[in-house]
Amino acid sequence: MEKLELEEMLALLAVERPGRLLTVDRQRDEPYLVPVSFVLLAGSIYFYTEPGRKLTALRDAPQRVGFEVDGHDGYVAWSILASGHFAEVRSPVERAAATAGLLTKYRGSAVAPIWARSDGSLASFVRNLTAAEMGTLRITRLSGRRWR
Amino acid sequence: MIRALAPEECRQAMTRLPHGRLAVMTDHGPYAVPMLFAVQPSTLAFYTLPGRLLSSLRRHPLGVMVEFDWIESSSHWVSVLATGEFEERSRHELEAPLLALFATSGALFARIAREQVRQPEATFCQIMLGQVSGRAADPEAARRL
Repeated sequence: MEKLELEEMLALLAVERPGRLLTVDRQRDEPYLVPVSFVLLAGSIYFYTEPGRKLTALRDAPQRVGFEVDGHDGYVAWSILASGHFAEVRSPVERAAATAGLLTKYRGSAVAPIWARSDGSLASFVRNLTAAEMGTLRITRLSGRRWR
Repeated sequence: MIRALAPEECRQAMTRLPHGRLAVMTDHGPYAVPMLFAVQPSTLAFYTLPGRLLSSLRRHPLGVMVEFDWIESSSHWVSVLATGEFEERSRHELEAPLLALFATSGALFARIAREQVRQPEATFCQIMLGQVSGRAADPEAARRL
């Protein structure tokens, strides 16, 4: 097992999908882990989420959020864990930049998130986006391991 | 169309997917790592080496979460979540089912696990399953794993 260097982790986070958002469900006093589509921009992980258990957990414990990504290529397996604090993205500029990043990352991908799919109309696309909340994890700690 | 999985479908998904992620509370927040599990009727067996995961599980044994997913496309995916309680067991009880799992799995993690599980410091553990739920994006997704 080897530790991943920062540059390696950033490179993997740039292309890998999906990741798993790790939150604390304070009502049940347990961790809550769910897969999400995401993009890494300027040291923050951006994702869309709809109201529900995940968003409630994020709002209840915004300082105790993590993000897990793992994968392998048949020869090397790796795992990355980021931690930091959650914020809802309200700034139109930041939201637009993150949306553009998500669309670029998932363009043409079979695993494009549901919100990025539309019936081809601008109205449908905008309706999907405005129905969801954008969240971000401001990363304060990043660690990763690799196994050969 | 997204639908809820039946309990048996959740169990099948956990059995067939190459690995899941184990999440536990720590004193500083939640922590998660990828993990190979031997799926038994009411438990998930695994091993771990001394470190942050094991110390956190011992300190916070209740309310552990396990996640499995398989995502082929936006319209073909399966996600299973399970919560439970952590407990340590003996090598005698769990080594055999874990070695059987590692022997049949083609996952890279299994090759690594085959080497690690024989180490004297390997600790054998299981999650006593509580609530298990799952969703799939199409009616056949869980059956096609």
